[in-house]
Amino acid sequence: MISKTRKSTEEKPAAPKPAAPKPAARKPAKNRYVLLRALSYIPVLFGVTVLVFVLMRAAPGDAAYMLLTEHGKDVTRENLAQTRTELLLDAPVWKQYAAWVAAAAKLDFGRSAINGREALPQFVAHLAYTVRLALPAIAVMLFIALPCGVIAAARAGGAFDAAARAATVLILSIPGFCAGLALLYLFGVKLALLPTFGAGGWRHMILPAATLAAGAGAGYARFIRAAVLEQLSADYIKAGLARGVRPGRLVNRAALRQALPAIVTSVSMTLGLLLGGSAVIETVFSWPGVGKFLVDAVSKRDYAVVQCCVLLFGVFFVTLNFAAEIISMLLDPKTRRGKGDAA
Amino acid sequence: MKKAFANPLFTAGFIISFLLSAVALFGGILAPNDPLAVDFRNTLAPPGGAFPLGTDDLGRCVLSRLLCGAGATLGATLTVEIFTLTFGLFAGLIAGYFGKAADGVILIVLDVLLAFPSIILALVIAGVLGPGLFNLILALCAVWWVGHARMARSLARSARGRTFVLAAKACGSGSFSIITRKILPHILPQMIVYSALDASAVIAGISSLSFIGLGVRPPAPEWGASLNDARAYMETNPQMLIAAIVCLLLAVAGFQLMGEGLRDVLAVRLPHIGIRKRRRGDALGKRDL
Repeated sequence: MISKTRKSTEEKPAAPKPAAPKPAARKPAKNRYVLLRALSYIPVLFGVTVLVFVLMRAAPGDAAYMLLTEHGKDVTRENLAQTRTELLLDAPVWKQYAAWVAAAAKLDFGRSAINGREALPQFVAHLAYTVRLALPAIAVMLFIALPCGVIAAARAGGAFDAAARAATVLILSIPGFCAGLALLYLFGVKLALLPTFGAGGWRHMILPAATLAAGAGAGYARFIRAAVLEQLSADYIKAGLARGVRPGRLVNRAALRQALPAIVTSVSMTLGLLLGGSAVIETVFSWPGVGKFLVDAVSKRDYAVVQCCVLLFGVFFVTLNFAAEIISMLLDPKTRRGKGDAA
Repeated sequence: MKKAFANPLFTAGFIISFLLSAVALFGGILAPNDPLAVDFRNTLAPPGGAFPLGTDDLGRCVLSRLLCGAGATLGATLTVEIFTLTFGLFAGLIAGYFGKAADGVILIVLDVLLAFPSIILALVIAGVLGPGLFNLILALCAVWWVGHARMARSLARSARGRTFVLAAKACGSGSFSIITRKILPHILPQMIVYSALDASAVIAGISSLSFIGLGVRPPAPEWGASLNDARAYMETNPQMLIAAIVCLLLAVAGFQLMGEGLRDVLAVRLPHIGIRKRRRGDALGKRDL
């Protein structure tokens, strides 16, 4: 039964495109899905830019005044009025928004009010540090959390599941910065094994990377467990068991395959957790990544930098989620089979 | 109630939360010293004597500051949780029950807010509003209701097709009465469990942001801010750091245990809300019952 279903799902995408009415009938459902998703992606992207725009306009301070004083010019009524016109501050809001989006689309996010350099290159430079912390976390997610989640789901209720659940609840409920500070004290001060702040060699990386990886790994393992468990309670598993298929084979071949879309989307959700966590954890360890960059910009009220970071984060995640959905749809045997079968 | 206290998780969580609430309410009375009294002749004193946990860099009593800071941290958490539960229920019920255009609009708002990691958006909003506990609460509320709304929406959606709702509809009940009398009581246990579990995340959020310096204004005590104060003196006065961490962990554990216990006692299962499931139901025009 199971092998039969699998066979049919695997054969279908391989079917040649210009074929009998059946695949032709399938395609529109799939295209319609992608189109609908793309259409709902646009208003969200629009909303993200509006939100950032509104937040930045709501920030206190006169942009024209700040620009003039930044360039060391005397502020007179005339040049203030002129700068305001140049900056479109007197224009209708929609015009300001359009100009702002046009500039952002050209990757012009303005200059930092603190050091006068462009925001984007600084963001990119700091991003390299965050990526360095994120890579070990992603490795932990894929090589430790993923198998642990699957095993916990396959042996749900067993000793491994209980231990894994206790560990994930423990890790997830401890605020990241508390864990970071505790590790810092233990390994940096008490045992004096590792450096306590800044970025340098690999030794500087261990503590922040471990803190981030623990959080991301625990979150991911929980997603995976839930996703696989959901599949294991499905009827096709019961049917397989009743027919005497080995449980291990059912998990590996059938349930994992069905859970694959959820496993992919979980990566994008966990990356969100990771980046959110990095803002605080990088501050704890004085690690010069984008998180600390943003925190510093917020506390110095450097709005050009804040807007650059937040807009890029937002666009990045909306795009990531969109991509994850499309990938998971392509991986999902149910949607692949078309609308009729999925219902 | 008897059944609830038979559950060890709930009982442990309840006791911890109860004790912490007592500290939050009566911290000022319990504190051995004035939490704001600065004494430059007695800075960074080791634990002992009149100062059980020593003094900080301005000679203020660490213990008193933690006891008085409980009110700020836990009070803010409670405020955020009550507001987000109310607002999330409101938005989620409307989106989940009416569907169609109302659902579409609310979903877009939710998706926009979900586009950012919540702590980062809260950080930026709090930064724009300026430091202060009230602004911090406002910023967190603006971001945190999304989770409650999604949960309420998903629960309301699945309740919509249940027979008791259909029966009420058949008897001629209006939408308002169906929502408030049928669906709300039906989904409330799940929402309460969700809120209790979520409270520990809110504590983490509040203390993280005050740790960064966006919470209470400096002289006032707060746990996240205490952690930040303690950080610089980790080598000489580790008890400052350890005490603040223990306070935060206790609070987080209390809510977490209470939530987990309540989940067992009320026998509720929270739906696993993934991105894909919700969207595919929408895209193909199906109800995710």
